[in-house]
Amino acid sequence: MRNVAETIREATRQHLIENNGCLYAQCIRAVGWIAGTVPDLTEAEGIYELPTSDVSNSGIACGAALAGRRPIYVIRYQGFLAYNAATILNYAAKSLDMWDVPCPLFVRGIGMEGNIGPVASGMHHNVIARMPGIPVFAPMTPNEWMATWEYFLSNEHPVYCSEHRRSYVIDTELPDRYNKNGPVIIAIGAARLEAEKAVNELNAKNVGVSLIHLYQLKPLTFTNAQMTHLSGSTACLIVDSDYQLCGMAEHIAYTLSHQLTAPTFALGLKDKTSAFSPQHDNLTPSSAEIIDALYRFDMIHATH
Amino acid sequence: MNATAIIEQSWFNRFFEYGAAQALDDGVVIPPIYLSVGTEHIPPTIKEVMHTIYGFHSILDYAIFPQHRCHSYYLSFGGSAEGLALELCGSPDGCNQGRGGSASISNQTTARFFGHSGLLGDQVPIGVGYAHASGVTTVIVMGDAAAEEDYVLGALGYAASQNVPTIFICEDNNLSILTEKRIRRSWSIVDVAKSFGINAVELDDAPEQIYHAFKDHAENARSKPFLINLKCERFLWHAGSGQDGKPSHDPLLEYTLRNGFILEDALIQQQQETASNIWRNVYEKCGRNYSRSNQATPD
Repeated sequence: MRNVAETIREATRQHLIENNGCLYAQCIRAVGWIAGTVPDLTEAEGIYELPTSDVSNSGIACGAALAGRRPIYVIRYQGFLAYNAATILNYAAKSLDMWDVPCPLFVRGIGMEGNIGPVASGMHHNVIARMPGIPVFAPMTPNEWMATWEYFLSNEHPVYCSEHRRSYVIDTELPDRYNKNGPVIIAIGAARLEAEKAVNELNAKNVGVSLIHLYQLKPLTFTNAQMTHLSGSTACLIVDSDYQLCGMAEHIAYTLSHQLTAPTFALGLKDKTSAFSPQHDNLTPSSAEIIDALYRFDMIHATH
Repeated sequence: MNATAIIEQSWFNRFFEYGAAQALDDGVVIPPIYLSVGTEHIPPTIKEVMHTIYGFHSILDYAIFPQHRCHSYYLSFGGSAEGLALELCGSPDGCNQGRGGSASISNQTTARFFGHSGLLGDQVPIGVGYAHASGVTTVIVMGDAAAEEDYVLGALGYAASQNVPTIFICEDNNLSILTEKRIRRSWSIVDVAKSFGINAVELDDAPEQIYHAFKDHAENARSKPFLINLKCERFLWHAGSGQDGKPSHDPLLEYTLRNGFILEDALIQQQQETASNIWRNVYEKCGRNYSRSNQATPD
């Protein structure tokens, strides 16, 4: 099975060769074809190198979307959305609502973290999710990425695909894990990998905790099986690789609080700047921090 | 150069705009409204250029990315005048069902005329991207304030580097709302464009000057970007129907007289009549009375 990087690369290759698609990004060829996610094609085949002009670049990609090329626009660090989001949110996301003119742009925002400072660090899908007109996904597996891509191809809206570099080597799926009558973790982005570790550790100690993997963030959708399980849960913790404050984790906790009898809680990046050295960094909640939160919120008990 | 066609469309644009101003004052049109009185001859001239110099047969053969103050562009490039009038009233029968208002109108039916979001100048990178990805020659309209947006400069650089088939029209009325250009910057957009390698000229907004500037660029038309900075005058307020003072001159009137027409000519009178009839219909659709006193009349 292909890993996520290979999946992205081959879907992109097919899009460019068969659909007259195109891809816009900065520094594509110079450093490993964006972690191996971009096919080794030429400009004539639709790979367009952009200058270091983040604000205007996203506008250029929007224009290509209006032209019907269904461009892929790659932002190499999601923190750079501070510049890039202007036209994506104010034009691409609004074009269909305002003028019935589709602006189908596939935005790949790449998250990474750890010693990379105050801007480049973390996932930032929250910034996008608050604006109408742009669905948001955070796939971490090959099939999830393909489902995100197929959603884009079959809809007229722009799509924000919140990626994390830790996903690129993943070549398996991450199914939900259900335990009856206990707490549930809903995990997003790279936090899913930490949640997996936390659940493994707790289950090994016979502490039954369920895990729901969420990658379609907006429109927020749970399967029937997920809702059934959530309805029988004792508590729910939503964990994200983006900031907790005013973010998806708190939003989902709030939304579910009206649908479940069980209490809901949120955990994400702290409300502090990610500085360079490890002691000053601000990372995706680790498995230890997730377990600590489960205890702190009284979702599991020390007697376990 | 078909001066009659330019004069005919320009006077229609003007009478339409004065009708809109009156409708605003009558409470029929919903504010904010950005009127193009004083510059309504520029789009018909650009249209003439696109057809006679660039050789396009149809409005649908090229694209237009305007921003606010774009009524005259909309009207000159095939937009429905009644649709626009109703749009300004917020009607569901408006050209954008009341969603576009004055600043964000679009026409994808009879032209490739793209709406503007309201983020000043974002039509420049978007228009460049459209032209780059489609190969369709694209007219991008901005004002002297929009030209100062950093992403406009980035987009000019990309258009130059990639030889994107774009025409940048900077309508330079010297004002950002009421702040003069000399207070905002020390540089010229023409110098900036030239430094990127773009053929760029600064002109007064007389149709003959515009036409000849395009003619000089004809060899590279459709293959290289071109920027013209048009020194023009906004007769009315930035938003609304008010007027701070008499304009220094009237390029449309001067062009009309240079070409042997007078205001009493049937050609011009007919434009006034047509514009008035449109506004009369719109008043009626809005349940309001229209009288001769409402009639669009330039000062």
